[in-house]
Amino acid sequence: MDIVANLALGFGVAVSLKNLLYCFFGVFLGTLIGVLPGIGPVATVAMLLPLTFNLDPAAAMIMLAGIYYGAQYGGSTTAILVNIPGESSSVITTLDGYQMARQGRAGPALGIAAIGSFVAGSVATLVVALFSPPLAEIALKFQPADYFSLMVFGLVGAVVLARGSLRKAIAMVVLGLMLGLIGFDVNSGVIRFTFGIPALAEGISFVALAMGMFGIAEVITNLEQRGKNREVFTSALGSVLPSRDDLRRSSWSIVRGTVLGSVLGILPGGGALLASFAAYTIEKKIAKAPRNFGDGDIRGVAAPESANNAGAQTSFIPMLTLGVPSNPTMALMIGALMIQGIQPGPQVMSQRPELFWGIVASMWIGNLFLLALNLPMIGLWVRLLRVPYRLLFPAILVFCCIGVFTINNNASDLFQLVVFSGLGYLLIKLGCEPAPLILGLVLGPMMEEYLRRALLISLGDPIVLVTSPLSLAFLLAAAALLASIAVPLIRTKREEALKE
Amino acid sequence: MRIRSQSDFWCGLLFVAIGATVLVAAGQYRLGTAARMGPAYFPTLLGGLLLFLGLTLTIPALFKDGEKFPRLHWRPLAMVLLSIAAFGVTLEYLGFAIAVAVLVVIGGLADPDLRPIEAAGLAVFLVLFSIGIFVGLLGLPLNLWPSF
Repeated sequence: MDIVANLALGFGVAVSLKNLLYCFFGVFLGTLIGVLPGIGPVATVAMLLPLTFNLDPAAAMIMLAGIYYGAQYGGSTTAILVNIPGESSSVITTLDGYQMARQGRAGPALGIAAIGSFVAGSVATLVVALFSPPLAEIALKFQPADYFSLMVFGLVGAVVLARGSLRKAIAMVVLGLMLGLIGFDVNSGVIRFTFGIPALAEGISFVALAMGMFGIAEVITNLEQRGKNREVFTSALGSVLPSRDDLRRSSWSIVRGTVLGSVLGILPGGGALLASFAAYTIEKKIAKAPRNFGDGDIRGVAAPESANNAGAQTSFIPMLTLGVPSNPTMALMIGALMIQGIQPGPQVMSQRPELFWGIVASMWIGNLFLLALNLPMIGLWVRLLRVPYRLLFPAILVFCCIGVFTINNNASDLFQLVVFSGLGYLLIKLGCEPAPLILGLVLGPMMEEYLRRALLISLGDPIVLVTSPLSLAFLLAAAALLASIAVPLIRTKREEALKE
Repeated sequence: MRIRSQSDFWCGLLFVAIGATVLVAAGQYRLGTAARMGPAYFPTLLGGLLLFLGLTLTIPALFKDGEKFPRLHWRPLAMVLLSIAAFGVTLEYLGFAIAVAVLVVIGGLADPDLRPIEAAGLAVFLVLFSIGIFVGLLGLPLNLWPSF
């Protein structure tokens, strides 16, 4: 069995004392930052990214994966205790989680979220281990035209899932693609679109952009809503261990959430957000007493929390095997790999098996840490939540700024941070989600390169994009996705589902 | 003519402006052909697409009712952006410790609820804390103090 040998290799890498330590730090720091209200996984990963620069690639990715899971779980904690989702994938958890907290059952809510996440994480790790190798094998046969169309499909997926206007989301993708092209062009050796600013020759700093749009812009938006009452339920936390009855009632919800999350996480544009929404909707549909939902039903916490963790994990599959990010966090991971000098794609698995399988194994270990860390430490996170926002946001500013600066030790990156924070704030105000933009930013240079190669082979004839069966299939799938939201019925469904 | 959807109108116009800028700027690079794409080829495609998308937002906004232009809160926006810029400037000349303090003090002005004494306390705490973490623990090569 290949998979056993591979996983053994992976655990061999991940279980070294050094990597265990990085995994632990990642999960701990990720939770610590993720708990802060208004700081989602993307901002957390961006903020902590510089900590991994001096590590070897395997340790860096292991730590980043830990940070990601930690941030996810931290977001759920905030959702349950303060009714403020750290990011969109825990929006749904606020519905029943916060109600449970109001009824004095915050403990079991947090407990079931941790247990569900662990079960989901363990299963999703296996899914990643099973499905990545065959997918990478197929991906190795991809022609440039296939890759180009795959990326189109991925970006369309991201657009369909963005909230608000479709046209705005597509425009954000295109803007992101263009920003990605700024700087040195490998093919012609020309430095393009820097508008005379020498610091842009190396391109836009994607960490500055992610931090500005997801971190700082969010801080500014939070500050506007000052005075809005935030109730933190800390007095009656109770035991974090769910009762036997809780477990019985939610065990099938965890299973369904896990399956749904694992499947949806693989889709482009999918991942944690779509998974948690779908899981909640399904639970509500099949439940015997659906009236309890929204009123503190433990199944309404168990299912979406399992689903978003499974989805978060399986969204690594397209990133690791195809080099195509399915959500903004994965875009950051690709950036991190590139900083480490590794070009993400199907060749990673064959050329750097220890890296690939080390990451897979550490996913499971990370989930174990998450369970072991969170249940005993919930008290600490709760105390952090009691700190008023006016004392927290200056600290967030400091970490964001130091994070951006230390990437290149270059103050000019801080001015990019200023520009992108301002632009991000304006765009969010105008109803444009930043997530599609950052995917475009990462994919811009790759799409140009694959299109260039595809057209070079076909002597400039764009028909190559539809004569290759794979490419045609991706383009048709993308068209179907777009058409599906153009149809009024599904459109209202999408708006309902994505409504906060 | 009355603009009926302020938000869409200005948003579309922003995209039109960016798209047009890219198209103009692309003029100084070689376009090439489809088979041999030059550095301006793909950006020109994208610039045109963005311009078109912008128009699909702007033009309907003249005829269809929609959201008003959102209210921007200038105080948090200005103070936060200013504090980051000030951090960037002071870091090079006055060192890390002073830069962090400047960042906290100016950034703190973004929230009128933050009392001066709290801001001062936070500044001291965050300077010590970040020196401890980033210099002590992680050993990042930062100039702590002014270099004169």
